[in-house]
Amino acid sequence: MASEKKVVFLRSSDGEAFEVSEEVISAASVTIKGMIDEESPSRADTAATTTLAIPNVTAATLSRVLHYVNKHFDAAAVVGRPDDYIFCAPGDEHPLARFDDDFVDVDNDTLIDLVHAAEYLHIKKLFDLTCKAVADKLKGRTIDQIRETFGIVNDYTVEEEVEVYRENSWAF
Amino acid sequence: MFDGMNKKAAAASGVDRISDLPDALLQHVLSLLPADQAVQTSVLARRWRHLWKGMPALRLVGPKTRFATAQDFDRFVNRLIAVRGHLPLVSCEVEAYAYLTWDDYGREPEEPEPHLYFDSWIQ
Repeated sequence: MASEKKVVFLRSSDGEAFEVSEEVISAASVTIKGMIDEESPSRADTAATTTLAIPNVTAATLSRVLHYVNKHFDAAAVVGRPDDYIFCAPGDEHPLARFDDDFVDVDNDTLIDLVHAAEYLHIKKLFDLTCKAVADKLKGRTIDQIRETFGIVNDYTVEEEVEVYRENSWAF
Repeated sequence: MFDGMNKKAAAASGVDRISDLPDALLQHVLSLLPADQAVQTSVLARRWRHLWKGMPALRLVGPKTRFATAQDFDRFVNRLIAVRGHLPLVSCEVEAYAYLTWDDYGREPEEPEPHLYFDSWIQ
C-alpha cells in the first residue's frame, strides 16, 4: 500500500508538470492508477518522485481536471464515505452539485477537451458529467440552433437534405 | 478558481469540434437525449445521418410531453425499433406516463390501456 502522503507529477502534452496526491488521483483515474501500479515495483526502493506523461491532455485541461478531482476527493473525505460518495452522479442532490454545474459552464471547446480528458484518464463521473453537459447543449434546440452552437456545417445537398428529412419524418 | 476563464464564449474557435468526436462517444451523448430528438440530429450533416442508430441506450419519453397521443408515441417507438434493427442495446428507459393525470383519462375514454402498446415492443 502506498503511504498517503505520496505525490506524483503529471506532465501535460505541452510540458507542464502538475503535482497531485497519489491517493487522490488513484481513486479518481483508472488510467493513472494503472500507470502508478506499473511503476510501483521499480520505485519501491527509491525516494525519487514519479512523473507520468499524459500526452493527450493539455495543461489548461489537466489543471481543470485536477481541480475537479481534488474538490471531489476533499468533499468525500469530509463525509468519510469515499467509496460511494467520492464522485457523485451528475444531477444528484449533493453538496457539489453547484460546483459541478459551474465546472461544466464553459465554452464548447473547453467542454469537449474535458470530455476527451475524462475518457482518456478514465474518470467515470467526470465523463458522465461532461457528456451530460454536451447533451444539455443539444437538448430542446432546433437543428439550426445546434448547427450554430457547435459550428456544424450542413454538407448535405438540397436533394439529400430533403431525402434525410423524409426518411426520418416519423421522428419529427 | 477558473472564474475569469469560465464565461461562455460559445464555440470560441468557430471550428466544429463536436463532429470530430469518435462515433461511440457521440452515440453515448445522443443516448442521453430523448430518443426522438436523437433521431432528429440525423439532419444536421452527413456525419450525423446514421449515428443515432448505434446509440447504446434509448430514452423513450412519451405521451403528453413529446407526443400528442399514446398512438403517436407507439408509432414512433415501433418505427425506431424497426429502423435501428438488431444493434446492441445496453439500456432502455421508458417514461410513458409523465404528467398524465386522471383528468387526461377522463377526457380520453377511448384511449387503450398503455401497457398494450409495450407488448408490441418487447419481442
